[in-house]
Amino acid sequence: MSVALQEPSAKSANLAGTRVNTVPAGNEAPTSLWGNRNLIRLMVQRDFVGRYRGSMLGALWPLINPLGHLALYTFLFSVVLKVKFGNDQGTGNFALYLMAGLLPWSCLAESLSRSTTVILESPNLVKRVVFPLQILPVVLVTSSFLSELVAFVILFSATLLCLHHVNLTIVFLPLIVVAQLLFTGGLSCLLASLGVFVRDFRHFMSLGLSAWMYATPIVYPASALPEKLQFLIWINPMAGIVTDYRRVLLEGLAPNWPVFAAYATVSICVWCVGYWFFQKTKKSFADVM
Amino acid sequence: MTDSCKIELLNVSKRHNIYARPIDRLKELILRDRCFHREYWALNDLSASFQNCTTAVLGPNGAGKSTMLQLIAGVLQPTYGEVKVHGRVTAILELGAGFQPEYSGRENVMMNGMMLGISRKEMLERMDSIAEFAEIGEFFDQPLKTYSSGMGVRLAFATAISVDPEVLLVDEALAVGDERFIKKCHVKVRELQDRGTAIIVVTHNMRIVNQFCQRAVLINEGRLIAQGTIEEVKPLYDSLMEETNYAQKAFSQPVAIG
Repeated sequence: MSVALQEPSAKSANLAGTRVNTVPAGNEAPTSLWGNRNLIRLMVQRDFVGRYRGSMLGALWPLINPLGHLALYTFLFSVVLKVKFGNDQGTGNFALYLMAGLLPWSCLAESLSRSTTVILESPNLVKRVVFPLQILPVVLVTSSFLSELVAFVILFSATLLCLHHVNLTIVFLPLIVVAQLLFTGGLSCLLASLGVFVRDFRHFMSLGLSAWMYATPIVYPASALPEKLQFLIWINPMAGIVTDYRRVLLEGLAPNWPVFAAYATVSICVWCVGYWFFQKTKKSFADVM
Repeated sequence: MTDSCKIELLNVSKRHNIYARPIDRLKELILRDRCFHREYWALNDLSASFQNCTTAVLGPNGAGKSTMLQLIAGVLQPTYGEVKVHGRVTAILELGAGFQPEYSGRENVMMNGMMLGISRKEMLERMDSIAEFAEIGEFFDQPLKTYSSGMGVRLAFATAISVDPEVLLVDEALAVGDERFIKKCHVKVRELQDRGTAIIVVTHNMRIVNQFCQRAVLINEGRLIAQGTIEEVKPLYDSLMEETNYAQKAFSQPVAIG
């Protein structure tokens, strides 16, 4: 047993350790997402395509999943529980509203539930090589967003079929999407890091996400919330995002600007805090894995 | 001497904090002034330099050899002191390190290249020669988890040497594959040596040391014992190993060792 337990000499103990490389390689820019864009693209491609590779229905799955959920929720909440959106009382109308709400939500839910284990699943990248770990949550969010885009195409076609026109307010959608992605990305980074230190998070995720989903007006309209709970729209960014998705896609209205300002601010803060926290803690991942 | 010096370690110490539970690490990050760990000094005030030649890192188990390579590779950060590296570093630290089991060989090679800052285009150009060198045939497009361990090692080796490293770190992985592949690797290593690549090898295999290395660094218990040419360091290493053997024999029950 050769164990060196004593402190090093006081002379060197004053300096914090550093490592310098005169040749900055891609991995030497550890804060950069843009510098690693090719790697992100490779991994997203891999994640999105690879997920369905080898399954019998293959490329159909990104279509089957959102449609299946849509059918399930529509049956439960419209046919059985008779929830109504807007003036139109039909089930078809309900399905459109539901889908508009499910789009940003499923992107968030998928990203967050996977983010708690994304670091733990790649011990090779944490402990054996110098890898820009911050791209892992970003890859997750991008991949989930691709699924959302597929579902968006379905919604867009269905809207054309049912409403026979496209609301011009769709031009506001990118603004909402940027806020949504910053919010999702920030939370994913935060959870990815916390998931390494506190293993309980992954078990909590499915319960937490269900609770959050029902606290967000996805399967019911925002107006159905009682007066006392209307403040939820303001403090829950997803509520604002879901409502604005419906306004610009289905109702032909501009986003509710005060609410937009509120959730956009929260989203930017969440992204900054989440990313900062991840970068701050990532050097310690190797110590605990 | 100094201008050919590729890597310098100046008074480097590395402390491994040992945590009983993962959450203790997080607590310590947030509550800065409190301590939740036990300490273990893997390297202790160690200074060494590596030139443009092949250097063997010698020492008994647990001496801190692998920690030293990880510091040079940048996987670990020194607690105190300074690690200076000049040039692109590739490392074969552990067999197939940094490879993703779900990705195909081709994707893993691409990813590895990108991690080292090599462009997609450049990697595509090198892809054929890597596949050829690794000799894994049609498995190149299969997920890595279907590979035999030999195939994984061959791919890792082929990737590491294909990216024109200026510093190559090898952790007891040189003896991979069959006789013929080893010969091919040796030719390649000689090529790198001629090009002026600094190679650092951690090994217990004296045949490799004698065959390839010009210099050696001997460490024990995280401290530098000696550095110099092989001829200078070898006797010290031998006597150190004998000592450790005696110590082990004195403490443990006699066990038949082949």
